[in-house]
Order: sequence, then structure tokens, then C-alpha cells
Amino acid sequence: MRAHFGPAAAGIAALALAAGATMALHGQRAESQAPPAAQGRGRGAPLPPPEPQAGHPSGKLIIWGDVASFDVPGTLPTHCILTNRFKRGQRMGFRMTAIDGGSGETENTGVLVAHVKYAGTTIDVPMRWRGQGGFPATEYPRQPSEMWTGVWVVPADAQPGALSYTVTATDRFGRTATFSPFINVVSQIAIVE
Amino acid sequence: MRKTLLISAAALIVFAGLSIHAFQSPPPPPAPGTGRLIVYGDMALFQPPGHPENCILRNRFKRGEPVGWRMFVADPSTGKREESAQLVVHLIVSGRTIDIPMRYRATERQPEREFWVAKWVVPQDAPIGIIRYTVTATDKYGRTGEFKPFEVQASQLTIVE
Repeated sequence: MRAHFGPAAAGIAALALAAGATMALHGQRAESQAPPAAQGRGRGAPLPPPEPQAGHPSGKLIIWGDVASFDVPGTLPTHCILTNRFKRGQRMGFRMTAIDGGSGETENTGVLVAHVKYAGTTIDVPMRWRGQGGFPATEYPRQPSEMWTGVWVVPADAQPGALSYTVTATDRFGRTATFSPFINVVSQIAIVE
Repeated sequence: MRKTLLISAAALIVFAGLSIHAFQSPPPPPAPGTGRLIVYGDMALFQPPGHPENCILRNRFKRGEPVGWRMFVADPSTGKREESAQLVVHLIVSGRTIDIPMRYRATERQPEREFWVAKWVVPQDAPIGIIRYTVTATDKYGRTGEFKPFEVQASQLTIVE
């Protein structure tokens, strides 16, 4: 009996250890692959990662959004109005949301980056999740937890014309998504005199 | 003997637990035809084709100007367009809700326009200020979805002088 159980027990124990080690490695890999949290961009130390959301991940990661004038200060009449035409020096604002498709909820681990094609290069504009940190109560009725924002200032020497952009996202589960605006030419972001 | 059995049982429990965890994470995506539709889009000035400002993004409109909505509907499990969706814009004007059905824009000649559109000309007696709206969608599977613009005061559909 002992002769039968000894190897069997050793085998099961070895399997369990191997499985445990594999999962530990998997977890480590997932951690190391996880994209860095959005930085504060001069707003102090990065905030802690958000709480895990029950039921996530489920379905596809879906992102969408728009562009707006991010003119400052916030009291300017053009602050946060929708537009796709920007002048030199103006703050082009990207506003996006990331959705966990299966639950329909905001996927708050999303890391979003806007990619602006400008003067033959691609400029990456990191976006900040607005579910953490302060927000101006004069502009938002509540914490805009569904929103990510990023800003690109149109260079002073920019040539007038249309630009293209996309926004990409990854989440802690390894899902990815890409957003492109509607294809209509006139609606693309453009630099105007 | 008893010690061996105990070790075996413990190892089996640990292994079973790890296996269950491995199977539970991550959960499978919802089957096609289930879940909520993802509806999103933007607002633009819908002047006639050829007009220099046709289709530029706007949220501030004067009386008489055509407000345009462009929307997309995604299946939550694939992220792809749900062709069977029917969309309606719901505007709240002076306490009354106006429903505007949206039209699927792609045609044989312009198949790339895979979005839905709707237009509303601001009436001459429209009140100055913010007009709230939502867009709802239903598809052939009975799924529904709703779009609401970002909750930013300055970005809302606004009628100006």
C-alpha cells in the first residue's frame, strides 16, 4: 500500500507545486506586462491603482470619444467646447472613455494614448484617467470617472491643414482597442489660421 | 500511511483549487447576441454637402442651424458594428421630448460610412441654453444600449444667440 501511495502522493504534490509555480509566473508576467499607470503629469505623485472591478474582464474592450478645445483658464468661453479646428498655440483636447464590453461599465484600468500624425511623425499624447484626483466642480457635476483626457498644444509653427489621429488602449487584462474618428474629411482635426 | 494519505489529500485540494482558479480567470466573453449594446458618436454641424462648415464638430448652435448626430453601435462581445441596430435621438426641449430616428448612412456608393445619422434644425423659438439629449439603440436580438454625452457643462448641446 505504501509502495502505491508514496509515488502517487509525490506525483500529486509535484503537480500541485508545478501548477502553483506556473500561476505565480503567470501573475508576474501579467504584472510586468501591465502598462504603467497614467502619470500625474506634474500633478504630484502618481495615484494608487484603482480598485478591481467585479466581473471584469468581460467581452471586448471598447473605447470612444471626441475632441474639444481645452483652452485655459476654464473660464474662457471656448473651454471644453466641441471643435475639430484649432489654431496655433491652442490646446487640442482628447476625451475618451473605455468600456468593458460585457458589463458595459467603465474599464478603469485602461491606459489610453492618443497618437497624432503631425509633420511626418507620430506624437503620442498620454491620457489621464479622471476617476481619481480633483476635478473642477464648476465644470463637472460629479467625478468624471468614465473619462480620460489628453492635451496636445498646436505648435506655433504648425502648417494649416488636416491631421489624423487614433487612440489606443490597453487594460490590465491584456485587452487592446483602437479608436478612429468618423472618416468624413471635414470632421478630422485641422489646424486653421 | 496516514501521513502519506494526508499529504496526498492536501496536495489534491491545493491542485484542485489552483485549477478552478485557472479556469475562472479570465471569464469567457459573452456569447454573441447577449449583453448591452455600446453606443457612441458625436455632434456636428449638418450643413448641405459642399458647405465649407458641413460636418465640423460643434456643440453650440444658433436658431435655424442644423444639429447633426453621428453614432456607431458596437456589439459588446466583438466590438464590431451591429448592423441590425435601430437608433433614436431623444431631445428634451422646453420640457418636451422629441424623438428623432436615425438613419444608417452607408449606401452602395458609400459603403465606408458605417454609422447612423440624424438631423434637427434648431427652431426659431428654441430656448437659449443647454438642451439635454440621449441616443438609444435596439437590435434584432432585443439588446439595448444608450449614449449620453460626457457630463461636461460646456460640451453639452447648447443653443446660443
